[in-house]
Amino acid sequence: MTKKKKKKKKKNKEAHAINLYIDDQLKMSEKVAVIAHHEAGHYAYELWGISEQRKLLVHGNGSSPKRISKPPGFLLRSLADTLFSSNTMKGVIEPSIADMQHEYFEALNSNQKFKAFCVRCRGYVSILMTLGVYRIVKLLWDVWQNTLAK
Amino acid sequence: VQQKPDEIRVQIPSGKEAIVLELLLQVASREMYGLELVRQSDNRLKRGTIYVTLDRMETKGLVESRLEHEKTNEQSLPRRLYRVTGFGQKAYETWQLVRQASLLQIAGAEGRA
Repeated sequence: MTKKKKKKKKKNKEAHAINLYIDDQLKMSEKVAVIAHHEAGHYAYELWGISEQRKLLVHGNGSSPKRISKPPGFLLRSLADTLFSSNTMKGVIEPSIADMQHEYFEALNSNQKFKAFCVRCRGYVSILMTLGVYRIVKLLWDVWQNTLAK
Repeated sequence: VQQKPDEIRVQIPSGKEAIVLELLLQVASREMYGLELVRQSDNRLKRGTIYVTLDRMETKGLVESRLEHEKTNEQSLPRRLYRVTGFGQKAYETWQLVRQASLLQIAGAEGRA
């Protein structure tokens, strides 16, 4: 295979990777901006039109394709949404996830990646604890209310 | 049959609730989010229980909450800010009186012994 063909194949591979990563994670306007940039020969390494927080979630450096991760707690939130009522989501789960995300972004903003990792782990543990505690407290509260009603 | 007058139930906050009320009443803006309360409490409040406590307090009417100004472009969820209600302030004052009374009772009992 000639050098030119190899280079072209590499380019295509990179472009595929970029499209794969941006597929469902970017909004339409962002996607268009990224693709336009790619066509200009810069391979979308400059992502514009995205929020400062989102820029912190972009991984990969140098010539490697960029990957934009979801904020921490995204999966947990969607999982909890199927298990708990909207009141529990609003009052207990969402505030805990929101606080964890803000702490995580604060750490990333100050370029403390290890701290961000610790915040993420600690956040998950505390949310899981919150859910456990919530179940027990709610049960005791219901028993107490039933006793008072009698 | 003589009817009993309607009972007025005074809600005395629990220890954790009293700490939350104390912290919220201390700050000038009187609005704090869950993690801030944990940080300010010198390990008296835990991350795993604070949100359950705040939710219960909101149900009781001791605190009220609102979402932080929502930025549409942000990735993270808006934080929930809590503040004490008038009822919460009265409940905290009651809690302080009850606490003082019980401390005096203990001191009296020790003095007699």
